[in-house]
Amino acid sequence: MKKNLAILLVLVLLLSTLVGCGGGSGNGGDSETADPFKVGAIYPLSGANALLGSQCLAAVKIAIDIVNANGGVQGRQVQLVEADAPDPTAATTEAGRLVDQQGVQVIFGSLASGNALAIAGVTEKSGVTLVESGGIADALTDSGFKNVFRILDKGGLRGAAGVSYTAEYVAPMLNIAPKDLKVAIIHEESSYGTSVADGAEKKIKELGLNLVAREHYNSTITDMSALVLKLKEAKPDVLFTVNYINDAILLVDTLKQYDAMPKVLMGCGAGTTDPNFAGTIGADSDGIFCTDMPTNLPLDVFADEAMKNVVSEFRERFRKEFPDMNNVSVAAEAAFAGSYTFLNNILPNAKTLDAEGIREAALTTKLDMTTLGFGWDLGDDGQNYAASANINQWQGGKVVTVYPDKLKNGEVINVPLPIAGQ
Amino acid sequence: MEQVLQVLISGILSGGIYALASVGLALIFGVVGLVNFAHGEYLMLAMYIAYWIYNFSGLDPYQSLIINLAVMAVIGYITFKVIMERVLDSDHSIQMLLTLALSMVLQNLALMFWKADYRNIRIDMTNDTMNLGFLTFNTPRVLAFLIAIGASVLLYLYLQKTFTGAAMRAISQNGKAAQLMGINIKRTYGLAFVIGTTLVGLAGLLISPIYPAYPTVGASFSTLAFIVVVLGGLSSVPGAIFGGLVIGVVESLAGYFAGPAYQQAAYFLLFILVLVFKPNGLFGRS
Repeated sequence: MKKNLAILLVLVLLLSTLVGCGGGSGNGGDSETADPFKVGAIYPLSGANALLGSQCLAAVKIAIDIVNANGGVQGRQVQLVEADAPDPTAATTEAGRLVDQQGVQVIFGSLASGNALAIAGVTEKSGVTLVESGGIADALTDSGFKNVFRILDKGGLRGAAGVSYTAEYVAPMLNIAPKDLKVAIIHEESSYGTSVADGAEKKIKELGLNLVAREHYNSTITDMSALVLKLKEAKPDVLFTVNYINDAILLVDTLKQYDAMPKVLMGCGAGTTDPNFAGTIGADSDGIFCTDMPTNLPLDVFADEAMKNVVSEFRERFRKEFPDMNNVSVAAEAAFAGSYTFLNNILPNAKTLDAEGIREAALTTKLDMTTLGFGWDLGDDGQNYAASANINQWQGGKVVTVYPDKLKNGEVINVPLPIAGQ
Repeated sequence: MEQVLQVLISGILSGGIYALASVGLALIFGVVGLVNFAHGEYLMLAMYIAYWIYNFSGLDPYQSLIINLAVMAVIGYITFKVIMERVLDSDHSIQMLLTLALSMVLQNLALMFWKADYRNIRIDMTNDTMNLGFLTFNTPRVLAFLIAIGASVLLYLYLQKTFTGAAMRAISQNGKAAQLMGINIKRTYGLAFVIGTTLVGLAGLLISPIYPAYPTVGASFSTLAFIVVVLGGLSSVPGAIFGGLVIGVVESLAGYFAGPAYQQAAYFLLFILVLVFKPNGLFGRS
């Protein structure tokens, strides 16, 4: 009796898997229009990055709502399957679940570069598309993946952007010739921090600035005294730094405690752009730079009326969901831009909604403008080369864009920093 | 030379906190025989308690010390009564799985109720420094160190000089014999567990002005506490104090001379060396 029951159970399980597979493969065919188009979203919804992760997920949901209200993708409603990935291991498992069990064709992700690489490892094998709007590690688009598309800039380019700006604009403000300018790099050691720092170092050498120190650390560090004391000996004028939020705060605190704050602190995304950064260190943040993608652009940047409306609808709905935030976070804006652009502008151009059709549409579609303020123009590696990083600065607890000129909404303040040490 | 001395001192200051975060673990292991993987989560809870008290009443962590420790003691007692007491006679693997599960539950409850936001306590003192000649000390770190070492030494004296302390030592040496001598084992276990969680709570409270609270903050200190405790000889309280200081100094010196990336590598290396040459830890009994 027990044996029969077990056989029955196995049969039922087997049957349900087969049915599941059938449904999945049926999606690509010329079935009725009511068949939903399944997409996945993988973000850290628990763990240390959960705050930004849940904001990204909310942004993707808003994008899907807007697209569905306008008739969906090629007449099919978009259906979201969400997944929580606090770390790369979970990202691998969840990507597998979305691909194998849920039959999604496109995945949006993933906030952290490590997670993005883990997901790409899974999606690439199964011919599923990953649209990345958070991880900026170079490796993601330098590894030969065919179905990974990144809307935002990559780490190396971002590091370089901060250095170029420093040489051209900051050095004159300090009255120091670029070749005499002493610069240092401190970065957290994941693929994200390393690729940004590599890009910065390359540019520093290219422009002939004076690199006096480069150090890296694990982002779970609890005491930065040793690091800061070492830095204090090198006496840099400008410090380039790549961090997550805790270590960014700890770095600024420790620099202050040892009276070792350099004249200019140039952060590169993540930690120094996080709303918590200025929220925690308060007025000391005034004048600290944070290179990142464009954010909270004034609506008149968007010439296209329809895009203007979409951006303002997104911001309004987002603020309703997160009433504590005075600004939409950069991560959420990017997550929205990635998912909205892909669903609204790329997929309609795809001849077939499979990996090949989507890839062709992603690479051949060129856009002058996305909701992030830059265009869409992918290289064969899947990297959006129209993406650019802005130079932003904290001013009165808000991120103000100071470069490039066409996007700027304020002038540079506090160079050198009033809290700079001796 | 000045810099090296400064680095050394900052290492000792961190070491004090590591020591305090670890003595509770050593005590619970020594007396109750329980490897508590949820140890770090009590640190997290204390940090949140300090944060919420600060947020609602404006009392800084030092002012709310007594309330915080009382709450931690109650939480420790409830955990012991409701959960730990049931598995005291079970296999070690069951106890470990249970504490591991408890740690996950606590982390995720924190995430559910308080979200993943980083909760910082910024008191006026957070960035205050004291100067002694050319040396600079961050005031909250000095306070944390002094209180931590004070509390650890008090615990040591308690174990050495009082009757219940002697009972705890007796149990850690030979539980059966201690029971035959009329020691109430369950009560002593409970007391040790409560003291252990209160002490790690104190550590959490002391770092709350310099480090943010978030649901997984316990995890990074938990790993450290385990290394410290193994280094010191598992159940030895003086061993844990010494181990904490050693880890703090090694971490700091490695950060200065080799670079911050090698801080963890350095103390893990030390950890392996100690295990190879002194498998019972620096203060362990064979």
